[in-house]
Amino acid sequence: MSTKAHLKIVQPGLLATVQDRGRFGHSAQGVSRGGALDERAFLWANKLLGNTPNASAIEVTLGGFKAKVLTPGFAVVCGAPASVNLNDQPQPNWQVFATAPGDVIDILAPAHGLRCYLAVAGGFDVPPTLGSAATVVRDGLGGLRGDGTPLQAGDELAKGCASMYPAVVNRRPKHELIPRVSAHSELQLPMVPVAQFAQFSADEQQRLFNQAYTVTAQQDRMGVRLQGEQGMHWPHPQIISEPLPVGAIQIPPDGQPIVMLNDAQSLGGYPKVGVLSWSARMALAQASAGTKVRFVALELSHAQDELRAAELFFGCTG
Amino acid sequence: MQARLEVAAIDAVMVVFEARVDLAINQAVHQFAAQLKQANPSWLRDIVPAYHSAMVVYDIHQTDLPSVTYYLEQLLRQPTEQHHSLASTQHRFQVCYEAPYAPDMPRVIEHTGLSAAEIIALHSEREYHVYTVGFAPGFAYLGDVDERIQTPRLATPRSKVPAGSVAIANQQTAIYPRTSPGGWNLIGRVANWDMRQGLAIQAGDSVVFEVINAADFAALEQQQRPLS
Repeated sequence: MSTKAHLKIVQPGLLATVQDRGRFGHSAQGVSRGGALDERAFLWANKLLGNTPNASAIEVTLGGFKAKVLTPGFAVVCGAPASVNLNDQPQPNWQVFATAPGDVIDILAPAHGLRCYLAVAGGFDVPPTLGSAATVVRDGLGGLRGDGTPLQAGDELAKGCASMYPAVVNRRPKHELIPRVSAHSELQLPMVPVAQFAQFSADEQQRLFNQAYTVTAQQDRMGVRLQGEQGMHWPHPQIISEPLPVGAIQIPPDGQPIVMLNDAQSLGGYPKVGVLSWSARMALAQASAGTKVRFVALELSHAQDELRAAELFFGCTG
Repeated sequence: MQARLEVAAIDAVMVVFEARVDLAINQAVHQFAAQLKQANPSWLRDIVPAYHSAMVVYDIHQTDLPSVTYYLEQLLRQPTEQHHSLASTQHRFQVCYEAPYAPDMPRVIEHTGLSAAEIIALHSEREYHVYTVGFAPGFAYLGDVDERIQTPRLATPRSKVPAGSVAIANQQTAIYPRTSPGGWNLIGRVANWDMRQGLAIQAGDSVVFEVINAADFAALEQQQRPLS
């Protein structure tokens, strides 16, 4: 066992991966961005601990995660409302806690939502691959081994030095600032119409906004397939593959939208009708199968205002 | 060459040239990308060139859409020297087109009516242009394949294509950078392939394949691989 190790994975659950904000500037080489899907929860975790915004954390998918603490430190769990236990005692999420050697952290399956972020003060020391620690399984890049493999039982992570301020126990966001993960009500997804939107007929455009869609089980870190009553019909020949931004809403031949998330491929050959706002993407990254969603048109300037404000708030500009 | 701009994402615009897969159009895309990279405005975050389009990502803390649009329109209007060669690299790979590295050679023979020797000669005599890189890290779309050996994709993709496989699909050819699923016709394998060779290929570069036999392939594979 490495003396530097701070945390040992006992049980990774369905999928636990090391993530940061992602791998920027390599799309031209076909490299996906990767990075925390619920970036807002991830950034909150680092902010609460006094870390730099890009410090590596663990993205835990659907709970079932257990880790053992090896050296003293501080930790926090943000994201979906999952029960967190510290040595079998309930520990509020979205709240910094101190950890001692021998402590066991459990993240149980969330009541609703999909993903939680376990961050530690200083971040995890994971060597970057192409400038980022983000694990992208399909690209074979990033993570503890640099080859895109998710965390496995027995893996040990060292503490990094990404602290800006000392961590403070019990620090948490004001209650009203904690993003609510939708359980039952219909989720509004603001989106900016882009790309081939104008080339769909007016009726098809109306259909996109007038019907509710259901989040399907066909979803992963690459994207989420939605199902609506009526598909959207593309009246033109196949398009030539184009660069595909994260958050893009693609319409494949069956007419049912696929929303691209962080691990999406860098090029796409389906028509695109829009791109989700930042917070809509965060919400969709927490939407489990069966969630009802509805697209709402948003002006680009408003979407930019929101993203700019978020990046300023979390200190990740430039 | 004419191009129009459209919103691509919250922080990105798409520069769209004429909608055809065409060498001249693609070269215009790379010319534009090279010009923008050279100008390197402070707000430029990323540029992703594809076949007939390029996505330009900008820093919304430094600029806004009207300013970026104005800048890019000015840049597109600037006369470019057609024969001004881009700083592109030629990549050479040694390929064995023999069994067991060419499992779809019989399919290509059947589809084209040519012999294996003719197919190998036609595939390896060209210098290929890198249209774009995408689908997976280092997956370069190369073209154009000689019409006589163009063969459609497999009806059912393979679940596992070995890394370094050389494949064709219609007018395009490529090297699979890492072991992955894939539906292209496998006609060869690059000796001593390393995924980092794929990551070194940039859109606009060129690629040449050199034919080697199975014995040379085996000898090259025996050589020490670069440390990863």
